[in-house]
Amino acid sequence: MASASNAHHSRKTANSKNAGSEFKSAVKRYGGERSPLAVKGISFTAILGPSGDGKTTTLRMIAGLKSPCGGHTFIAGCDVTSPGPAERKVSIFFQSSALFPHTTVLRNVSDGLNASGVKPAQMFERAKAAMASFGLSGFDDRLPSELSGGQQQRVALARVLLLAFAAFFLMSPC
Amino acid sequence: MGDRGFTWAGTAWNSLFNTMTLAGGAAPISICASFDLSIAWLLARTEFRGKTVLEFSAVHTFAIPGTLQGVSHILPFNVPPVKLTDTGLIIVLCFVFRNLPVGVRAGTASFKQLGTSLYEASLMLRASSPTALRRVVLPLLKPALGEALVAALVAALVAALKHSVVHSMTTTSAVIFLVMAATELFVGESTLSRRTLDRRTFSRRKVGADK
Repeated sequence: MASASNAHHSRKTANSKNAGSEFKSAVKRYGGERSPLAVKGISFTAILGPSGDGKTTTLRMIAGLKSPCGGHTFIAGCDVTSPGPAERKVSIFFQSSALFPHTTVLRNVSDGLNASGVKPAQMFERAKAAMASFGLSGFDDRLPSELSGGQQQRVALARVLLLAFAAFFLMSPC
Repeated sequence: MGDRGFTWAGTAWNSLFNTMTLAGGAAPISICASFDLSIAWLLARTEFRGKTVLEFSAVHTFAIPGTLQGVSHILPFNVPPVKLTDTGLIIVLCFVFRNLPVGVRAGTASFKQLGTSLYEASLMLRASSPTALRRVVLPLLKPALGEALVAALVAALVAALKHSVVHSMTTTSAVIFLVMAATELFVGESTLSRRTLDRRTFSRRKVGADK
């Protein structure tokens, strides 16, 4: 990587023509090298690179968890550079699963639907269906701490995929 | 209380109860107030210009002598429209700002210990920032807040009780500026009201008693 005295910067660019996410000319400078990136079409794309190369930063900028130094972010054709994370139709599967430890598994899975304004009865029904598809039936009232690591990851995945957003980011899912 | 049971005789009990009520009232306000938690949130989770200044402002009350704090509470609150001197409310207010570092530090430590992934996960599930705070962060902060609450209660209580033990330059030295010697607070009967003894009446009664 460039030394601190170098005026290099990292520039991450991804373009998409579909109705999914389009990450266009957004820039985050940390004093590293340029690493342009392009994503086209509806696809399953993997971003690989050494530690500290900006993979997570790229995803966090698209999701709105980190502000870019310049450029714009488009999701489904809309400029979402200004809106916060809640307004962007993307979701992140965190490396640590990030399950809420004080609520049950069912509540964890249905939390996204609750914030979307879905009625409770329908919310729990859809959450249970999602849990069943991931082999988590019967774990409704358990706390995340009562599950194994793999089960926790399945709960987190069910929670993310239940929302049917335009794009999903899986941070180091293995 | 009658022939049986305890009798709270003497003026010292009133002082003790007033002290405990005021200190107990100040503790939850100083810790649970959104003011403390808001500052803690800003310090722990955000980056902005003047962050160091805000942090210094929030904790500098521990370094300022109580005498100075007492005077600084008198100047703005000794004249209408907000005249609070000689009331219990200004003591609570003084305790709140005196214990502000306790709440801010406890909150900052808790926010940092909690990490950001849970808050961010809630944001990713379309929750707004206040909703994420209310439904995820604050429930997880309960144990830490409880401990900080006890710490603030003890700190306020000890500071108030010091008045009868040592004249230290702590909260006590601030409080003695806020309530005059001829003032007796009635916290239990009418919350945060005051009754100032009329010296003339007192003198007449004394003269009458002599007769």
